[in-house]
Amino acid sequence: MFQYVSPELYEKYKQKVLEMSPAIQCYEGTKLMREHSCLTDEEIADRLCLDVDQVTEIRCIAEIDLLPADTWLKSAEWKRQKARRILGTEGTQ
Amino acid sequence: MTIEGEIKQFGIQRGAKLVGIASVADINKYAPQGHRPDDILIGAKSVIVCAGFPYTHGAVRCPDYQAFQSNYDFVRIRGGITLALAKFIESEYGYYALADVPPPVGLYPSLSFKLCGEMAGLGTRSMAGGIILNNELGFINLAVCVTTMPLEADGPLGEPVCPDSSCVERWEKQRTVPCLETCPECLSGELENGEIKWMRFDRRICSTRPQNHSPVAFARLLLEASEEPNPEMRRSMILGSFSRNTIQAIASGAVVGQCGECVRNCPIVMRGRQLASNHVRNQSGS
Repeated sequence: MFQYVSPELYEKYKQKVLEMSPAIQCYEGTKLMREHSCLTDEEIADRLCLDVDQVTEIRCIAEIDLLPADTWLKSAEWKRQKARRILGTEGTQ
Repeated sequence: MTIEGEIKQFGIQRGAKLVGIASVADINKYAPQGHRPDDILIGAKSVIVCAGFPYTHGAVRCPDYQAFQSNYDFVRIRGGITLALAKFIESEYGYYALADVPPPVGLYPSLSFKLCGEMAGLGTRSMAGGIILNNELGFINLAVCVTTMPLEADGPLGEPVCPDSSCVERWEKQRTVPCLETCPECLSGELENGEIKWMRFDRRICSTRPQNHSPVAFARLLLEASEEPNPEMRRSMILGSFSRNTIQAIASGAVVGQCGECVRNCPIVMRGRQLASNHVRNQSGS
C-alpha cells in the first residue's frame, strides 16, 4: 500500500536502495548478475529489514532525486548534438 | 501448419516483423518472483513475443532527435497486434490470454520484455545496455502476449548476436566499440575472446535520455520550480521550451523511446536498417 516515507528514513537508505535496485545493471557475459544489484523491492526489503512499501517509495523518489536537477535539460542538448552530427557523418541516401 | 505456426503467422499478418514463443518455465529460471508471467496471468504457460523495427529508417537520419519518437511505428501498433493475438488464442483455442502487463513501478518493469524476447529466440543481449539485438533487424522493439496455452517454445539462440566481428576487431585495436564510445556515461564493459566479458548499464542516467520529456522530468521540474524563490526564474522554468515540450509529450503519450544514440552506429543495427535496394531510386530519379 502506498505510504509516504519520513525524511529520516529516506536520507538513511536512499543511496543503498538505489544501488541495490535495477538502476544499475551488471552483467557477467550476457548474464544479469543479481547478487548485489538489480534486486526486487521485496529482496531489498529483506536485506535492509524494511517494509516493501518503504523500499518502493524510497527507490521511486531516489531514481529522480539523486540526479542533478539539470540532467534532463543536458540530456536534451546531448541528443541534439549527437543527432545533428549525423549530417556530417552519414550524408543523405 | 502447426498451431505455433498459425499463431506466428497471425502476428506477422498484423504487422509484426518477427514472432517468437518463450516458455514461462524458461523465463522463470531468470525472472525474480513477482516479475514472472504467471504473476501476471495465473497459470501462464507461454509468452508470444512480437518484434518490429522501432521507427522508420529515415528517423535515424533526421537531425532533430525528437523525430526518433514521433516516427515510432511499431510502438503504435504493437499493442493492437498482441491484443488481437490474445483474442485469437481465446476464441480459437480456448485458453486465457492477455496482451498488456501491469505498468512499471518507477524504473522496475512488471515483466522484462528483454528476457521474454531472449527466451523466444528473437535475439541476444548487447553491450548497449542489454538491448536485444536481432541478426536480421538489428534493434528491435518488443510486445508480448501471455497465455495459459502450452506451446512449443523457440528457446534462446545458441550464438550471441553481439559483438559484431567489426567490433571485435576494433576492440583489439582501440579497446572500445561504437556503443561504449557513444555513451560512456551509461555503458561500460569489456570484450574477451570475441565475446562480451562483462558489462555495466546505468539505467538511471540512461533513462533521462529516452525518457527526456516525460512525467519523471516534469516531476523534477515541478519540484525545482516550487523551491525557486525568484519569481522570474520560476516563470522561465515553468513556461520555457523544455517545460512546454515535456507537457506536450505527456499529453500525447510520447514519453519513451526518445533516444537511440548508443545503437545508431552499431554495425548490427546499421545492417538492419538498410533500405531494400530494389525500391530505391537513383540520384537522377530515373
